[in-house]
Amino acid sequence: MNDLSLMPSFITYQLFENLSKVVAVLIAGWIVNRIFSFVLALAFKHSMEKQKQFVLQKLVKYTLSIFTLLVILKIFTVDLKVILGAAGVLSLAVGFAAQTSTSNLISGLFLIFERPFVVGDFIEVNDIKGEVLTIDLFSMRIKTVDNLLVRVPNEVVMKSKVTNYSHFPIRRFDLIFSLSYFEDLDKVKKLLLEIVDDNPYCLDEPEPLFLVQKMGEYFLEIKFGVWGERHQLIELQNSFSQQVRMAFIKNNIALPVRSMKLEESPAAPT
Amino acid sequence: MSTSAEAMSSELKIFRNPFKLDEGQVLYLRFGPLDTYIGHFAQEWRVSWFSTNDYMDNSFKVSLPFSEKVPEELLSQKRYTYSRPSNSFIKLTPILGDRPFVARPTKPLLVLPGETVKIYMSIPLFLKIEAEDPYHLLEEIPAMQSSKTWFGESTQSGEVCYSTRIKAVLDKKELVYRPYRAMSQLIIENRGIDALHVEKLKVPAPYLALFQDEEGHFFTSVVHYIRESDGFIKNIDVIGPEGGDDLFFLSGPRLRADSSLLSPLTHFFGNHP
Repeated sequence: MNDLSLMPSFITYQLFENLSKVVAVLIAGWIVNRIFSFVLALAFKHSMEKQKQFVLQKLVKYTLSIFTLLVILKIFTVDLKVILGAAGVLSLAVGFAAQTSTSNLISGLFLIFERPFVVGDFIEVNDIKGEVLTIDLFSMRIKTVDNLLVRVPNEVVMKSKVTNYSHFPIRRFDLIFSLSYFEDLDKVKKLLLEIVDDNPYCLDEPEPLFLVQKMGEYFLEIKFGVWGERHQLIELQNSFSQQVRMAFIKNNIALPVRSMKLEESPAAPT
Repeated sequence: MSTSAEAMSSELKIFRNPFKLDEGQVLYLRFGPLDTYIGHFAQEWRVSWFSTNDYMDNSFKVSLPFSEKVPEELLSQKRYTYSRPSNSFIKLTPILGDRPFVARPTKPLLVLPGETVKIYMSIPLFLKIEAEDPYHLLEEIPAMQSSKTWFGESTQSGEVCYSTRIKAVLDKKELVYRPYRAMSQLIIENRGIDALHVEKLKVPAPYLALFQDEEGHFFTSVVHYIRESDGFIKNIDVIGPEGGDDLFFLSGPRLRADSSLLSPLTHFFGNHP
């Protein structure tokens, strides 16, 4: 009777002891997590970009959380082999069920570490053009030029052709226009180079490109490529095109246009 | 308008001290091709400017107080306001540009192995306008809008620089003195085993300080490039200009000279080792 009467107090004591251990493990886990997070942030502050730091911190956090959970299970003398076996089967099931998410996650890791673009770059993916706002583990967010927020799953980005307009510091703007066969090409080229010299958005070098790219049936097709800083390309495009138009008008350089002459045939004699 | 050498030499020293501009007064400064008007009004400064971008312009003039009417076309004015009456002191300081400058020698040069040459360039200045007590940077205005150029090994690596219309020369007497420009000296020491082909030169202006001599001429720190035997530029020294003790220090470098000055390592002369 005496032994049985001691049982509830023993169970209560055991439970209390285990709960105390759990609390201690949770606190210790939280502290270790914070310390790791702090040390990682400090260690990679300058050597690693924020996006990678974020991923690394998340990986460390989840690993430590799983480790903490395993320690807690151990306190309650749960057989970890059974748990791990069940986890294997479960992860297989979850893997099948969440194929898309897994694919997005892996694509996200590739995007973050391969770095085809970074936050702030202007890119085009799947006909969506805009500035990259975030690259997360499952998706990225793009702000389009007309101020729309587009969420693109990382898997889609990995499978698509991506154009990064911000990767190199300078870009070339190509002006394509037609000229009559009778036009003096040297004069036109000189005029265009003078505009380059005058336009504050054009770079002197790399040298502009002057190319007769097609000798058509009625006129020549000219490509004139001029370089500018990537963030000023719109200003360059607008100002340069306008200057060329004005210079052509001033110098009587006509841009040929297709025209059709309709003549009324004289009325047939009756 | 003062353009004689004597008038300029004394007038150019005005940059050494702040101006006292009472409320309601306007200061006019012609700094080469740049016209600048600075007005002190109740609780605000107003600054307007216009540059003809004529790089041959040698004008220099200061009018305080400026009593004529400010031209209409210059009224693209900026206003800097205070919550209380502002102090009457304003400082104008010539400073070097925010990007490097690139110049070509009159003809491409070959620096022979074991030789050290001095090359001189003239680069346009910016005008820094600061209100004093409390200190506020009001504006930094280029005396002329220099065209930009790309300086690098390829279109992928390099940097955007300003290009100067005036060629780099071996004899500094060939450089015409212009009040809105500073003379920059580059020393190229070729320790390599072959000749160094110099097609164009880059002056890393943001890393240099600006000085003025007793005649009012502006000088930058000297840049000493050392090309090692393996053909790479591994060392660049920024040193004080010749006659440094007699020069007045006007403004310090914008950037601290560190390893970034050496980047890209080999590309300072528009050629490849």
